[in-house]
Amino acid sequence: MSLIKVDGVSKMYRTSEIETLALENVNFTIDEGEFVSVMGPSGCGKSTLLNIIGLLDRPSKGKVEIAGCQLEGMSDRQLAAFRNFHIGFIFQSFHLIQSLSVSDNVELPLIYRGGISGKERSRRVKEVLERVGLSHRADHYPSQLSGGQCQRVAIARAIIGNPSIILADEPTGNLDSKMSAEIMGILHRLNKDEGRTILMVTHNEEQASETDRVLRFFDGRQITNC
Amino acid sequence: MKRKLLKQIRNEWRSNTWLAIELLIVSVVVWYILDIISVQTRISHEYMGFDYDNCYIVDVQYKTPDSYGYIDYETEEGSYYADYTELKKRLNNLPEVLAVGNGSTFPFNYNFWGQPFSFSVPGIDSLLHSSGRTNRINVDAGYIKVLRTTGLKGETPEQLSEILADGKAIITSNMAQMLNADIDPLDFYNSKMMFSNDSTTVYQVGAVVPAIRRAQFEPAFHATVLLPSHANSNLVKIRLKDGKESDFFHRIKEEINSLNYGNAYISEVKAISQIRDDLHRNDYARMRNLIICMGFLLITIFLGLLGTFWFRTQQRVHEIAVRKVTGATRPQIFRRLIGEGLLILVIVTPIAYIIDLVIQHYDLSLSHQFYPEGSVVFTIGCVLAVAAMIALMIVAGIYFPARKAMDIEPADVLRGE
Amino acid sequence: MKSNHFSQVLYEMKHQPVIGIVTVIGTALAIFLIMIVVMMHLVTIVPFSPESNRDRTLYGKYINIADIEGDGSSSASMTYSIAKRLFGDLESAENVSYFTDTETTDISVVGSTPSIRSRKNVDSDFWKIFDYEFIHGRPFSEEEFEAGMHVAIVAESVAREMYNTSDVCGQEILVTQIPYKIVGVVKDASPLASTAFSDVFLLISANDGLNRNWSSEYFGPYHCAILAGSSSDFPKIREEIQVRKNIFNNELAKDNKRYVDHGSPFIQEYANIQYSNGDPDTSAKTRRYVIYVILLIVPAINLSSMTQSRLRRKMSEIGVRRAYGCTRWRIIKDVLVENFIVTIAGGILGLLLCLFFGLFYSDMVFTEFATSKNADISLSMLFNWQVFTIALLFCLILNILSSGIPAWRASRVDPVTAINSRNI
Repeated sequence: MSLIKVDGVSKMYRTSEIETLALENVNFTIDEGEFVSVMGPSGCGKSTLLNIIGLLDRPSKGKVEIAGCQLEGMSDRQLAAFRNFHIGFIFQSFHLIQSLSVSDNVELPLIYRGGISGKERSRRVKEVLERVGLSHRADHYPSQLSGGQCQRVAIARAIIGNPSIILADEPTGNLDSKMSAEIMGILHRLNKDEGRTILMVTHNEEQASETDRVLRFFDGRQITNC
Repeated sequence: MKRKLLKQIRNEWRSNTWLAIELLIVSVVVWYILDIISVQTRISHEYMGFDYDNCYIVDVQYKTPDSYGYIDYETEEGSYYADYTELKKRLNNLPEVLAVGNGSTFPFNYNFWGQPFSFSVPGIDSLLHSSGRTNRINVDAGYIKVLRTTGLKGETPEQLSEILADGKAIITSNMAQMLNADIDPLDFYNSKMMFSNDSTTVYQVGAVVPAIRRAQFEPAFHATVLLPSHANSNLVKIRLKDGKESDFFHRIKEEINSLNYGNAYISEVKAISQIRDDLHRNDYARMRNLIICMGFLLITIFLGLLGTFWFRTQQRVHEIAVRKVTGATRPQIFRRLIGEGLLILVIVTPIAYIIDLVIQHYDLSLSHQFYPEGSVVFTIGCVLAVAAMIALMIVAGIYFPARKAMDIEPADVLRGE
Repeated sequence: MKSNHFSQVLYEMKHQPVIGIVTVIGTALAIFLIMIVVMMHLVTIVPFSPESNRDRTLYGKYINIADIEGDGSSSASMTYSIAKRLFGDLESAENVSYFTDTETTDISVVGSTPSIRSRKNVDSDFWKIFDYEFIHGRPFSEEEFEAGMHVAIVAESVAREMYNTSDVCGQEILVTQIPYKIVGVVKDASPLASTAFSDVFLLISANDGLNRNWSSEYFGPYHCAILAGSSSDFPKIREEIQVRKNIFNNELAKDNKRYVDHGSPFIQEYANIQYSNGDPDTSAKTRRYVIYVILLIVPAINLSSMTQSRLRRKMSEIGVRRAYGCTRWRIIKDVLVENFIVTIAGGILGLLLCLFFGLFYSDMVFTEFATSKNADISLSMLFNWQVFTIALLFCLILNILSSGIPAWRASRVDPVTAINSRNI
C-alpha cells in the first residue's frame, strides 16, 4: 500500500521580477517501509519536494496524499498535529535548539503532542537516546556535542513521536565519512528493524545505492523513477 | 554617503519604524512637559511686585471669656483694638524689627477681593470703569515698608508709606489693561478713583507700582488697588533688619509673654518664605513629577537604542567586517552607527513640530495660553531643546554598541564564515 | 513545561546579558513609576486605621444653594442643624458623625509658649466611625457632648511634647488659650487619613459650637461622615437622603432657591474634594489614565523592538518547532509566556522600588498630604492585594503590548524560510 502519493505536484515561486519553477508535474508513490533517496544537483527542487511532503510548504498545483489522508484545506492546527504524528524531520545542519538540553530537544515533539505525562515523556526520551547511543549526554547542551552526536540527537527527536515517515534532508552533509557511516547505519536500522519509511535527500551516490530506490531530479523535473 | 545611510535605514525599516514612533511620541510628550516647565519657571522668576526676604507674619489672636486671664471690656477699661495697637507697637520696638505693617491679605495666598473701580484720569473726559479683575487690599502705612514695594517714579517704600498715610491710594501699573484703555501707567498719577457702586468716597491715586502677584506660579492677570486703612487683620507682617533673622524665632519665643498685651496674644510666627513653600507644595511636586516623567522617557530612549543597536551590530558583524577590510577606519564605523540614530531623529523632529503646532492650535499648551505673542519662537526653541536632549540619549545609547562594533576583528569574523 | 520556559529565559539572559538587563531595567522603571501613581491614588481610597471603614462611609461635605432663576449661587460646608437635617439619624445608616475641617491652631500649657498643631472639633460618634487607637483614657462620651464640656483628646506626640509622658489624662491643655481637660490619648495618625487626621480633638458642642455659622442658616464649619453597614446599603441611604432633599428643596423654592447636591454624599474617592460648588472632578481619573498610557506605551515600543530582534535571531528555531508539530498559537503563547517571565522579574523589581520609595521617601511621594507632619506610612497601608493585582495587571498589559506584535509575526512566518534563515 502506498504511504506517500505525489500526484502532479508543481511548485512556483514568484517574486516581483521573476517566476521560478521549482517543481514541475512530479508524480510518484512511496510504499510503507521503503527507504527512498532523492538525488540531483543543487537547486533542482529536492528540498522543495521534501518540504511539500513534510507539509511545511503547499504545492502550487497537484496534491499530496499521506497515509490516505487528503491534506488540502487542513487548518494550521490540523497540519501541525498531522506533522507531529506522522512525520519526523532530520536536517543537514541538525537545527537543534541551542537553549535546550539534549533531552529537552528530544522531548519537544511529545510536548507539542500534548496529553502525555511528564513521567512517560522522560521514559521515552531515555529510550530513544539509548537507541541512538547518547543516553550519557542527556543533560548536555548542543554546543557541547560533536556534529555526529548532534545529528544523532536530531534523529532521536525525529523518532520519539513514533512517526511512520522520516524526511532527511542531506543528513550527512555536514559530517565526515566516519560519522556519516554511523548516521547511515542508524537510518538503515530504523528502516529495517522498525519498518519506518524514509525519504532522504543526498549527494552521495554510494549512500543512494544502498537505498531501495533513487528518485532523480533535474531542474524541477523528475527524470527517473526506477 | 548620506544616500547610502538612508538606504541602510530603509533596509532595517521595521526596527527603525519602531524607533521612529518611539522618538516621535517621546518628542511630543517631552516637548509638552518642557513647555509647562519653562513657562512655569518663567512666571516664577517674574517680579512678585514686592520683596519678602526677611519678612515674617505674626498671628495675633484674642482671648475669649473661657480663656485664662481674659479681660472683660464690658466691665473693665480697654478695647481689643487698643490691645492690638499696643502689641504692634511692642513688636516695632524689638531691636531686630525694621518695619511692622498690616493689610487685609498677605503674600502667597489666593485671597481675592474683587472690587470694580471707576477712574477719572486727567486728560480723559469720560470715567473709566475697571472690570472685576481688580483686587482690593486694605493696608496700613507700614504694609508697604514691610514688603518694600517701590513706585514707578522711583518712590522709596518710605515715600510710598507717606503717600498712604496721607490717605491716597496706590494702584498697580497694569490697571490700564483692566480698564481696556491705552493709558501710560504714569498718567494715573493724581487721577481720581472711586468705588463703581459708591461714588461718594473718592481717592486720589498717589502712586503707581509694578503689578503685584499673589503667588509664584501665577501671572499678574489682575490689577491691584492698595487702599489706606487701619487694617487690623490677625496677621501682622514684620520685616527684620538684615542679618537678624537667624535667632529671631528663638528670641521671640522667649520674649513672647512680654509682647502679649491685654487680650491680644501671639499665637504663631511664620516666615513668608515658609508660607510660600506651603502654598506651592503641590506646584513644586507637580514640577518635580514632570521632570521625573521627562527623565524616565529619556532614559527609556537610551535603553531602547542601546538594546536595538546592540542587536544590530551583532547582526551586522559581517557587514562591518567587510567595511573594515575595504578600508573603513574605526571612527568611520562609529560615526556611521551614531549617524543612523541621529538621522531617524532628524526625520522625526519636523513631524513632532507639526504635532506640537496642532496641540498649540487647540490651545492645550501653557506657553500658548500665557505668552501667545512669543510662542512660535518659543516653541521652536523648545522643539530644538527636546531634539538636543534626545540626540544626547541617542549618542549615549549607541555609544556602547558602536564601541563594540569598532573593535570587531575582520579576520576573525570572515574566517568564521 | 514551565521549567522549560524558565530555562529558555535563563539561557537568553546568560547569552545576551546586555539585552536582558536593558529589558529588566526598562520594565522595572515603567512599573515603578506606574505603581507610584497608582499608590498616590490608592492611599486616598484604601482603608487603614483610623479610617478602616473607608469602604462603607459616605461623606457629606458641602451644600450649594443656587437661584432657581438667575446664576446666583453660594456654597460652603454646613451648619450643624442643616447637616443633621440632611444626613442625620438615617434609618439605613449605622452612624453619623459631625466634625469640622482639620485646622492649625496654637496649643500650650499654662506658662509655655504656644506650639502650632492641628485641631479638629468632633462629636462623640466620631470615634465609632474612625477607629483611633486609645493609649490612655477614652473617647468623648455622649454626656460630655450634650453638655458641651471642655474636654480634649490628644495625639501621643502632643502629650509627650506638653508633658513629656503619654499618660496625660486629667491634665489640662490650652487651645487658643482656652483650657480643656484631657480625657484620652490616641496613637498619632498619618496625615494620609485626610478626614480623621488631627493632633488635638475638641467637642463641636463646646463654646456654643453647635450654633456656629457663617452668617447664614445653611453655611457653617461642619462636615459629616455616614457609616453604612456595608457599601451595599449606599443606595438605600441615598434614597432616604433624597426624600429629605426634596422637602428641603420645596422650602427653598419659596425663596427662588434650590439645593444642588453635586452627587453628595460622596464615596471615599471624592472625600478630599476641596471645592464646594461643583461636581467631583473626574478629569483626575482621565489624567491618571493618560499618564498610565504614556508610561506604558513608550517602554512597550522599546521592548517590542527588542523582542522583535530577539525573535529574528531565533527564527530557525521557530521553524524547527513548527516542523515538529508546534501550532501557530503555541508559538505565540510560548513567546508571550517567556516574555512574561522577564516582565514579571522587572515588575517585581519595580514594585519593590516603589514600596521602598513609598516607605522611606513618603514625604516626597505623598507631598499633597505632607503638612506640618511627615506622611507616616506603614507597609500595610501601601501593600495589599489591590496593589499586587494592579501591578500584575500592568505587567500583563506591558507584556502583551511589548511582545504581542512580534509574537504574532513570528507565528506567521513560513516554516521553510524560518528553518533556512541563518541564525540559530
